[in-house]
Amino acid sequence: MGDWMTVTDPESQNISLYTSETKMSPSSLYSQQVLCSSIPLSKNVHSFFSAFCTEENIEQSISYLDQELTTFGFPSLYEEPKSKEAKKELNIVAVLNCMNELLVLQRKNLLAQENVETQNLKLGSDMDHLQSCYAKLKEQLEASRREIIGLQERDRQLQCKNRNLHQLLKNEKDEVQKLQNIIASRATQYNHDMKRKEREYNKLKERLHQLVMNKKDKKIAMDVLNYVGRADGKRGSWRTGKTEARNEDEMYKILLNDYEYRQKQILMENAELKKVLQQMKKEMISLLSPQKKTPRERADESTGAVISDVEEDGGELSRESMWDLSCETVREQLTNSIRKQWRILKSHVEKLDNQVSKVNLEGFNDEDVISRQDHEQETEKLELEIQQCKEMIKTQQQLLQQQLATACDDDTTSLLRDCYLLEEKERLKEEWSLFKEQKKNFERERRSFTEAAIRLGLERKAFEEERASWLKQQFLNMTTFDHPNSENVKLFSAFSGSSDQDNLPVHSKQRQKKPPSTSNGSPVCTSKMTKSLPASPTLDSCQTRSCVSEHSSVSVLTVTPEEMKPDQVGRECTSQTWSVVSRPGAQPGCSVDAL
Amino acid sequence: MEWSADSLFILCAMYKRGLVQVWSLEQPEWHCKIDEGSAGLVASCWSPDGRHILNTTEFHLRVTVWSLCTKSVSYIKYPKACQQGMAFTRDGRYMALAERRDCKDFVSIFVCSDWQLLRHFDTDTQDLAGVEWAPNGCVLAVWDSCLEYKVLLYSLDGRLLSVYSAYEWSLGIKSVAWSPSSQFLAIGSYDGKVRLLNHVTWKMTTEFGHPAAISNPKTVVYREVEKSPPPGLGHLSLPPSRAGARPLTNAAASESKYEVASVPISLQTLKPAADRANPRMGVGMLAFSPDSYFLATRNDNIPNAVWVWDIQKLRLFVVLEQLCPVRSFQWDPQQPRLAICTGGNKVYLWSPAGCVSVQVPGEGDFPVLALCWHSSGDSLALLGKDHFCLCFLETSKDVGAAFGRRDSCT
Repeated sequence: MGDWMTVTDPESQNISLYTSETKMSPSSLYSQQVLCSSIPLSKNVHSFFSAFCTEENIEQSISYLDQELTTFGFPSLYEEPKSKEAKKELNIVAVLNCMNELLVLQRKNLLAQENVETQNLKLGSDMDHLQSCYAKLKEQLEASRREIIGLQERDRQLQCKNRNLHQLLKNEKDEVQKLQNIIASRATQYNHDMKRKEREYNKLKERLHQLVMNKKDKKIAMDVLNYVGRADGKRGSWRTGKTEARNEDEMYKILLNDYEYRQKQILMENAELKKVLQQMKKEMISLLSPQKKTPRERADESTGAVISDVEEDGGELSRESMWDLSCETVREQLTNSIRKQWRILKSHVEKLDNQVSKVNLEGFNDEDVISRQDHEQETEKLELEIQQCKEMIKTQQQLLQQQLATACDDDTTSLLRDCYLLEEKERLKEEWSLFKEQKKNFERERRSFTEAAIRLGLERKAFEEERASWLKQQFLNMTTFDHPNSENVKLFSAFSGSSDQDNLPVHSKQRQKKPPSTSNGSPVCTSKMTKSLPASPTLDSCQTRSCVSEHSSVSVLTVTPEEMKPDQVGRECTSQTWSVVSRPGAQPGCSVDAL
Repeated sequence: MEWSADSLFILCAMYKRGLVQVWSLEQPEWHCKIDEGSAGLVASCWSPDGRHILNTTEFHLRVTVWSLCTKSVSYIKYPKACQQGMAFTRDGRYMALAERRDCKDFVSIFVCSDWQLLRHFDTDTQDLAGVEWAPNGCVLAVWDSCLEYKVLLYSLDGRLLSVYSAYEWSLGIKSVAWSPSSQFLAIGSYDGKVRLLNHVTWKMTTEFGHPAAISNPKTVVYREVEKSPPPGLGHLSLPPSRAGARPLTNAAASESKYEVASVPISLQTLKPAADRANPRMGVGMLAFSPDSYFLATRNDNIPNAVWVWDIQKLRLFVVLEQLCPVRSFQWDPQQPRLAICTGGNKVYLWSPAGCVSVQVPGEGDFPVLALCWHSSGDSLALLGKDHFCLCFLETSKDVGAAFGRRDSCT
């Protein structure tokens, strides 16, 4: 029995309550329960557990437990009694079930308790939080209320002050008014008093005057040695009405003179001002009228107005000059037109200003940026250039200094001088050598060309001789002697023509040399031709043609050297000589066909 | 003592004895004696034609006109006892006389040739203080006493042309001056301002204030400065300052020169006694230059300074600040040159070209109490206590001096 008592959960209060002293009555147990309900016991558990049920009071404890359990709704611990008098047997199953139930309950309760505790804690913290918030808000509210009150107080004070100041001002003003009134009244009073006193004084004066006049003592006299003449030499005049009138007249004359003088001055001023105004108007018109080019409506309007105004003014001017400038309407017209012009000018200037400002606003930033960039770039470039120039100047200066410093040493100077020119000299030398080489090459080529030309000429000569001989043979073979002179003449003419043809392409120099030889040659040829020429015209023609072709080829040959580039002078000369050479060579060879 | 206008006679009046003696220059033996007797004598002056003498009897009972040509006497009753009650036109034709009858002010205009009354009209003033003719002789300016600011302008025939009043209640006009061209009337008042009226509309053209602090950088301020005398050395050529001051040598007494003070500057002021009559404030001295280009003024608050205003531009031109209060100044009758004296031993000259401080040479102190230009503008008479000095001004700006003893009688 003691075993399962010690197994019970030490945290449970109920069990501990139940395991309290079993010797006590249930009421005392109950009271003990109440006392010990809040205190979780751990150490005294065993004692309590053992205190409830001991080995002596088992039955009592069981019955007690049974009672308690049944009251709580648990099934009874006893088995069902078989008979009334039989002992109640402990139903262990029931006991175990009850125990299990109790444990489950206990756990549930513990859980619930935990939940409740956590909730309690949460609520407690929430509550604390809310309370603190509340306290803070209350404080804030209090503070703001106090502030409001303070401000209200200040406002009130300031208003009071303001009112006071207003009042003071009013008072001051009233005082000032009062003082002024006082002054006025005092002034009148003083005036009155003064007048009174003055009257008295006058009375005294009168009295005195009378006395003085009445006395008429000799003392009041003037003692003059003799009369003095008047300043202007005239005699004195009596006082009559005429003099009075004269005086009046003089006075009026003086006044009138003065007025006339002033009026003249004013008229002059007026005229000048009018001139100035006219000029201004003209200038304004001229300023505004060149704006016709701008295609703006207002400008057109203004120019239109200007033009019309100009016409008007033209008429006006003439009218004005006629009417002598003091006419009211004319003056008004002038001023009105000036005002109009001025307004137009003003609007124009305003427009320009707006334009400028717009342009500035719109394009200002970009332009500014661009221009600044450009400007910066340019400045950088310029700075670089400046630096470079400076460096150059420095180096030059250094060199100059060196030169100057070392000018005393001749060798070095000469060396220096030489070394400046050395490079150039070497370059020149190289070029010169190159040039010489080229010249040599050219010479060689020329010589080779001349040789080739000579060879060619010789070959040609040989070839011509061969042809000539061949043709001669042919002619000799063919026996044709019945051709009349006409053929000869024809041939002659042809030949002469050909010879002429031949002569033409030849250089003038050669011609000079040629004519005697050709003239000599040609009759010989013709004579020979008459003898030996065959009669066939075709042959002749072909011969002539061939001759011509030969000539042409010769001419071609002669021509070609001329066509060669003139800068190769040597070659030309050689070609010319070669042609000269070929001539005499050709002639004897071609005596039959009479070249 | 007074010269006659044609410089032929000299008038000597003895107010205490009521006697006037006239001496002739042409005929030394000619003499004339006028005795006012019990009437007494308060003032005596020549008429512009030089043949009549006007005596004002005591208590301003009457003005007696004695004629030297006809030995006749005329009386003008009720002249007004005021600052400037009698004024002659420049050409000497007319005389304006302020009168007061039955507590009212009147002005009578007389023809000087035969002393006929030309016009007689009343003026709307409380207490007429002065009359002055315009130089062209066609307008008469009449102004009230300082208790009321009022200026009335009458034409020669007595018509009222205009009335001008700048303000009420405060003390009013202190001094009045016409410009030589008759174009402007300058009115100096107790509030320290000068108001210019123009002759066409008789309305105020502008007003010039005299503040103690000058801040406009365009005005030039010349300040007289004591130059410390060179110790023991007689002649020292000191470098001339920018003001163009070339002080005289022989530094017996302390010398002074002008130096240009930089603007802003504040001038010495004098606080007038508030409870006394005729306080020392307001513009008390006014003078136009002969070409009407400049107006020289003195504000009695700032007694050491002379203000020169440019009338062409209507603004302050130059301020000259002296070491001592300015006693008087006068323009050269021919050109815009101003001579100033302060009671010290120097005379100060200013012209638009510059200013110079000239010490009067001589032994001891020569307090220059008054000065007077010659009509040609070449020389200047400086009057001391019992000496006078003639100052010759040559075109080369050299200054010569001649001494004379002043007659102590007058």
